[in-house]
Amino acid sequence: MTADPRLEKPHWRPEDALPWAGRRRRWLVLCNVPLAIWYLRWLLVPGRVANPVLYALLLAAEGLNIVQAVGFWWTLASIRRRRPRPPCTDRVAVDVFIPVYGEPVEIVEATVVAATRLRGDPRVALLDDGCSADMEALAARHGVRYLCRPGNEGAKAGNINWALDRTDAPFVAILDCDHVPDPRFLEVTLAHFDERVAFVQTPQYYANGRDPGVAAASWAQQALFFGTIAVGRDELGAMFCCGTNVVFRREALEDAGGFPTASLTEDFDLSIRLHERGWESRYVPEVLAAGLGPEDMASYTGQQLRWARGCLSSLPRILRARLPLRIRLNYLLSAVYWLTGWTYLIYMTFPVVRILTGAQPIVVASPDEFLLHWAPYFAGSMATVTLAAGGCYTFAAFALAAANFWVHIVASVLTLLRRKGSFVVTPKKGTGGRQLRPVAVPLFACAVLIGVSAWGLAHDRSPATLNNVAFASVHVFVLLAGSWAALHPPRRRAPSDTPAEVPVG
Amino acid sequence: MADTRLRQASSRAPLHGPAEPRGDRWPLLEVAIAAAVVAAAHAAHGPALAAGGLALAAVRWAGSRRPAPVLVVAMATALVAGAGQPRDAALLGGLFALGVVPLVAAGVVPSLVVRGHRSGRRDAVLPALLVAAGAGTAASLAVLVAPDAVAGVHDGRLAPLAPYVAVGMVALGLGGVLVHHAVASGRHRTAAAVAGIALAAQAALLVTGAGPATEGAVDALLGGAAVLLVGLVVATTAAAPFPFRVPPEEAGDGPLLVGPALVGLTVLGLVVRLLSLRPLWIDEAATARMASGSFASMVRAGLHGDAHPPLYLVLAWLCRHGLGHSALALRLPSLAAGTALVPVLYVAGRRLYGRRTGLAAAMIGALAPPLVWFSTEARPEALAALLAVLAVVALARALDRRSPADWVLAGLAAGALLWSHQLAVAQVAVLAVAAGACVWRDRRDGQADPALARGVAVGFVVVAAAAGLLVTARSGLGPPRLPLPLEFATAAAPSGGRAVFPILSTALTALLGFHPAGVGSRLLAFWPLGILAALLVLGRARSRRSGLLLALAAAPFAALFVAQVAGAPRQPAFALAWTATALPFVALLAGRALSVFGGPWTRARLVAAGVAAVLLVAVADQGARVEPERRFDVRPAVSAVAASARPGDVVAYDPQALGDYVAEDAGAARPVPVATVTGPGPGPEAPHVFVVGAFALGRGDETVQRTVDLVRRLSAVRPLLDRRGTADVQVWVFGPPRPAPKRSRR
Repeated sequence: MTADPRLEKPHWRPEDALPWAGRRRRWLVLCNVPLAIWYLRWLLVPGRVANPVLYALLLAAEGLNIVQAVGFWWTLASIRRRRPRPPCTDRVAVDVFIPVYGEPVEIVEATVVAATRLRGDPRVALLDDGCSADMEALAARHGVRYLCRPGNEGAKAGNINWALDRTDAPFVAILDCDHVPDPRFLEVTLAHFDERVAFVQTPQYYANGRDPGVAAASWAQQALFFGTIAVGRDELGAMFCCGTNVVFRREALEDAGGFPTASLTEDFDLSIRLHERGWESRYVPEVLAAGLGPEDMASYTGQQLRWARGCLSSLPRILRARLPLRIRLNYLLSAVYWLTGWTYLIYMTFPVVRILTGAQPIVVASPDEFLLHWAPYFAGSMATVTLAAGGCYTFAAFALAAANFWVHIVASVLTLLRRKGSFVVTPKKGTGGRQLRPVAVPLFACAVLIGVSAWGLAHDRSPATLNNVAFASVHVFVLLAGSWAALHPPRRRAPSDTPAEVPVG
Repeated sequence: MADTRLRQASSRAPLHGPAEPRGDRWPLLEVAIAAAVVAAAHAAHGPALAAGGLALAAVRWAGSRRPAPVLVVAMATALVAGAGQPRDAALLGGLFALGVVPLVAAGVVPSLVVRGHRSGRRDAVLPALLVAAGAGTAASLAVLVAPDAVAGVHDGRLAPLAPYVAVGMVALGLGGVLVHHAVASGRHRTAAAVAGIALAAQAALLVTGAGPATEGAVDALLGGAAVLLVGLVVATTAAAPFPFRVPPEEAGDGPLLVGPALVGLTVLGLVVRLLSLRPLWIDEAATARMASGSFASMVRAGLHGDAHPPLYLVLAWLCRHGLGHSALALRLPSLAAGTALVPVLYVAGRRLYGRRTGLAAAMIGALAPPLVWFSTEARPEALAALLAVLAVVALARALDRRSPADWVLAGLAAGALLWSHQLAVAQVAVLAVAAGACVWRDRRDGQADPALARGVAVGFVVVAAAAGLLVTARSGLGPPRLPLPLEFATAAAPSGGRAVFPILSTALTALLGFHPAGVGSRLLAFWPLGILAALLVLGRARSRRSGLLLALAAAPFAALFVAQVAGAPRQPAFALAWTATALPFVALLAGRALSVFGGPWTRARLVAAGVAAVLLVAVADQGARVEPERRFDVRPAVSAVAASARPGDVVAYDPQALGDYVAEDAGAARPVPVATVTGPGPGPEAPHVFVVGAFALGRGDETVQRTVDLVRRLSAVRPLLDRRGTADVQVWVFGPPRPAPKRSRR
């Protein structure tokens, strides 16, 4: 047995979340709708306004959350049970691209070895943007093609486009250099290429998702997306490419003009282009490649910032694109998700303002009136997420997202300012040390919340103040839980001294 | 809980450890001690019972692994024997003659003697039977021959009943030994059969018995069977042994010395409860009044005059007649049930989750302020809480073993629960759904088990019989009148209003107990921490066991909420007394949370110590600062009256529930209910008139009107000498009548 988790049996199966498919999911959604209406009807009464500015902020935050929730319910309700297709046993030529840019050789080697053992007719190419001699030696050692372009314009997208011009198989598979494919990867994905299908996406599974800390929390976020949301998106015909573990039809790629190089999320932009041209997409909910998730806070933050900037900068394009409404709405939901950090900021602001100034967003006739209207909606939403994710979405995942609220804010500000970003490859190995910088903002927020709460308690211990201190405590607890992995990095598995053992197909 | 996974888990980690070896080292000593305890309890009741029980427990804990059944059966039997205090000889005769003797004679004795012979254990059984018979006869004869010397009571009516009582006592002693022996030997079917026969006989008599001749016997049998039922359920559930010292290789990340920890927690729970005893309050006074009359009147009052079904009243009646009129005697069933809840919570936690959860739940059960509160009240809440947990344990056990006897026991436990608390019907419904779901799931998965289906059906029949019996009894033998529970839930409750905070407030009280209003509102302000709790359970493995416990905890709340939303005639308040049966499940869930979030065992102990400290502070605050607007105390007022009353004085009191205490404490004064005083009140033969009014129910209460009216009438003819009291209890002192004005002669 080796210590490389990518070579172990996957610890997650998307179908574990799918028993909740069909009628029960729809019943769950149906229960949520009246609860949301019950809350909104109460919130939107004109006499509810206490402080107009705070009320507007509250409406904006709740509006965004409810839009996201409705989108989630829509996706859930769309899920249908599909019969798995038999694997494609024809020998169809597929160019398998493994783009690399300075990653450790031992990480890439397992991927390369596994790619050469794919069933079918794989033509593996190592696309090295770093033109490293080690990589060239690696490619030679395993008999795969080595491509190194002059310069690295367009980052990963440019690298792939360059390789596209130098290869000719009718299908192209993209594997990030840390994603070790299952031998059945091509057989399973090629079976889904109907006439107008441009690409078939598979889950971006993190094999290190059971490691404590950032890896586990970020995997829990991924699991919710690839276990439930992606299945629903697929039913709606709106699944987008996630950049790895995906197989493209070359004809479609050429029709779209290759990967867009001006975007930080080239996969997302490419998906829009393909859907705009009438191509379709598919998602196969089966783990066919095992990769590595970010292992430390800096890696996670960098990844989130890139995704946030890319998706937010795609907003104008989504609005302009000639897409069917169903698909356009799904792209919009995906893009505006990266604004949710603003809602955390708004919610954190309320107790601070209330304790310091006494101002609050809404007027309530009795203390429990808010609870009566909001709690059922909240409880329903929580139950839905819990059940729909099959228990994969954890508190740690929520806390990690909340502690990175500032990433969304920075991304949206930079997008508004039209600042150009650079493509930064997510590090495949964590530093293992304490990282204060990525959690400086949440720690500052904690300090403010604790300080204001202490001040409030010193001046007034009425139930109203205690209530806001309790709200502040919830935020502090969540922020600290989300930042904990950076402050107190968990011990990781010992690195493997043995060469990678790749399953033979 | 009620699913295949649970059963598999249970079968992997059996609750009670390895099966008891057939060759017990201590059978003779065990049953002999049991017989001695029963006999001693027959003779001298309370003190002997307590001393004997403790001695028994000590001996058994030292020598073997099965202390509980001996103790509990002995206690239950002795409680019945406590009825032997010859206060109502006719009733006593009816109880023994119609209840126990036929049952023992017809079924238990031959069966067990034969079984004892077959299993080669007659060396244990027969001496014990002889000891019990001899001791019982001696004790009974002693009571009958010299009642003054032994029991302090003389009643000439006893003489003709001597043979009956003697035979009854002996049979009771034999039955106690045999039932204990059957339970401790793992022969639960016998125990279940006894309870089943008792219930069947009771049902038959209730259905067919018309006419005053059988009324007393029916009531007596009802009480006897009910007590027997409680004793058997407790005994059977606790019967199987569990290891007190966990082998190190099995301990893993958990406690090694379970036994001492559990004993310590139980003793701690008892001590905290004894320290938390308060003066009786109005509802307890009502219990005392109902428990003071004859058995028949008590049952009648319990069935038709109290909010809750009469199981607790039966026990209270037995205690009051057996152990005297002290407040402690009246509260003994609650105190015993509340203390027994501690180890039973351990058993439940261990069966459902593991030792760690069991100990954590036991710790919370020992110190949880609301459980402490209800354990010191002469009301049915603590008993109902105990029975609710026993019903769950019995169900889990039945699902695990799938023997019909276990299903009968589960049904009996649920039936006893129905007979103990008004809203327990909601929890029994949840248990029924869980059992039904288990059958459905097996059938869906193609693993239908006829034994399971039969067992569930048996359980359903027993529960339905208990429920039908209850409804029939409460309707005066007429056709069932549904829905009784909510009718009673709403009858005596102040308005609650359709809001969330009452529910939250009750839930908070369920966690931290009763506190002054300011503390409550400030604690309630921390409701946002509930958001954190909801977030923390995200992604936690879903457990059907926890789901069932959650449903059981929520069931009484849901019943009250439905009653509110449905617009019950008088909206029920979310008073904790109505939701008391949720408390043990809150303790179990909290114990589970403690064991899960506590982390490694070393850290978990620190967390548990922190929780224990918080609970102790809450208990202390509850005991020290709960304001009398919730619980008023009439004793000081009545004592003050007694201090100044002279022969011939009259004490008029209202409400009538106070009569019991006024009668006891009014000293030389003659107590009369306000409602019976007509016209200008007592004549000149009464030098002073004291009016004691206790106003618990607020404005519009008839008590207020009646009392004020009497005070006005008395003021017209007598001078008001003094007025004192608290907001809830007022005392007016009137002097001798004013001389009548002389008429002028023309």
